[in-house]
Amino acid sequence: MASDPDSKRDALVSLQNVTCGYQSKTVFRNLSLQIYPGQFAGLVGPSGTGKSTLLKSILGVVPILSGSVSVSGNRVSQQTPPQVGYVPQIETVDWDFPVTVEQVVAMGLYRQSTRLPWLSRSERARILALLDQLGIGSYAQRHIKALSGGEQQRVFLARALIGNPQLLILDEPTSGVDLKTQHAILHLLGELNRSGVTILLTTHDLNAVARHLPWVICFNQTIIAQGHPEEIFTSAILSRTYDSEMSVVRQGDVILVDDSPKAGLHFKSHSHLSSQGLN
Amino acid sequence: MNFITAPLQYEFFLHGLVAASLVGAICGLIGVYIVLRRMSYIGHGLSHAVFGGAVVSYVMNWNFYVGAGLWGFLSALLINMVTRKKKIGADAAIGVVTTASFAIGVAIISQYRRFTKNFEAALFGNILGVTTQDLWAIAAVTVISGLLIFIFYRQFLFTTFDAEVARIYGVPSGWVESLFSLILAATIIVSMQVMGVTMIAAAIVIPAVTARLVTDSFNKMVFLSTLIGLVCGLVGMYASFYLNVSSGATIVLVAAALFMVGYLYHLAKESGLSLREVANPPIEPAPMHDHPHDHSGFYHVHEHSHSKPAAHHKGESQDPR
Repeated sequence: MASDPDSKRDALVSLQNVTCGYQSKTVFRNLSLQIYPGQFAGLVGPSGTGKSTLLKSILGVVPILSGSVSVSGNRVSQQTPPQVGYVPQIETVDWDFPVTVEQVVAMGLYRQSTRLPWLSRSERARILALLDQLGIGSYAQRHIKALSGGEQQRVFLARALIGNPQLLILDEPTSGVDLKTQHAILHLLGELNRSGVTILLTTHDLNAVARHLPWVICFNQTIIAQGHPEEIFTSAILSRTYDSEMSVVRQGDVILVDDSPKAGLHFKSHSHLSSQGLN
Repeated sequence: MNFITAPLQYEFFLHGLVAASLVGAICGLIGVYIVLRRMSYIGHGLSHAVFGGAVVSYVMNWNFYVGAGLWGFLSALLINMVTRKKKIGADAAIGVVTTASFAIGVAIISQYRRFTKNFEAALFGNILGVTTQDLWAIAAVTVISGLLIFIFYRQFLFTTFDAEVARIYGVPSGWVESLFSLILAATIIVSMQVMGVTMIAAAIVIPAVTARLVTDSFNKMVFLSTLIGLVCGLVGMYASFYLNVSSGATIVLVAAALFMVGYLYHLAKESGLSLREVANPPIEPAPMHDHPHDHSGFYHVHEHSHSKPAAHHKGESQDPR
């Protein structure tokens, strides 16, 4: 499989015994993780357990209390390595901000751009070529709000790709879009990965991960397990990851995760009632 | 024509006209970034904070521009710092820092009643009292601020759009924020004499929101807001001269009138769109699909919502069903 970790090569991203947190709150402790060139990995786990913080530690925007994070062998410290492209959650975007698609993508050229307010001819041509490749070339002069959810996601993907990153980090790229668009986005990321870009993303959509991603990391303040979805998506591992009972159904090559809420609280109160003989 | 040229023979009017135009233009320019950061209240707050600095400078016998400038800059930095603590919103931070600073000014004035009149001018503006030194200060701040915004245009745009992501992409966001605070403080200080503390916020916010109503382009918004600010300064000064009303008030009233025009234009544009939609209902979008195309690019995948049948997708058009 194309994005199996090639551990014979040096890791592109390496976290060694990293403890990360904000002020007095530690989000995760002594975490070690390697991402190898060409991997396409998804980070899954419940909300508030440190997935985004883990991404931000690689981006160099959260305080690393101990341990070290390196990208391409260079230690990350309060500055995002230039070989990393980042796509934030599109739900955090101010859609009323008066910018066109072209202007948003041009922001990704910051490190290489001229210091003039306007785009040079070569910058414009580069942006248009990338937008064309992503299938949104005709929308360059449109306001970002005027696009569909999938097209908007591609605009921010283009902003990350315009700097030719080796590693692409995406924070929940499939949230806030419909099912069909989710699959289109993950399919597009798969194509990108095949063209040589290493990808690390977070998502809550376990079934989309099972279908599209070759590598999954189950995370809940620490790494519970990592591997191919067919090995990792078991009821035991997912239940440990989500602190909740999770069912996994397999039919041939298809893995289906029953991710309907069976919250621990409900489960516990149910047992509580049973123990009192009321159920 | 005499209507325009007649007041120009008075030196005080000429000074006032140049000052009001420059202040209008720079406030309009700065206003774009203030409005888009949703910090409209900062103009109002910071002008009050600077008032405290102006009073302290007077009492301590410091140069007005240095004392008030430093005070304003520190207040803006303090607001930015408090705002970063997510528990406290920008509006609350502005409220605390600036009213406290204003209160210092009021407290000192109540102790030294002899100069109360000087500060009436700072509160309500006194365009007749614009000196040549004031004019030079206004021109210098306008030119330097305009140049800085031109040079750091991309940085200001990115940090205004999303400061956290801008930092990830290599923009020194903290440094850009501090530079912006400095420009804002300088603009407010030189505007005090013309607009008065009580009217500065309107001069900053109204041109920018008016421009936002008529355009969806950032570049056009910057240009339009600066132009509207300049026009309001010019027209407001003539209105002030002929109607014998305070210049700060007439400048703001002209801006408010232009805002109404912009708002009506926006409403007309929106209702025009809805009427067109009623007359020509949109064609049902084609179903989305996510198959890879083989005709261009190495990762050319579409999730279309074309309004026309996508005939070029062979798989669909030849489907016998």
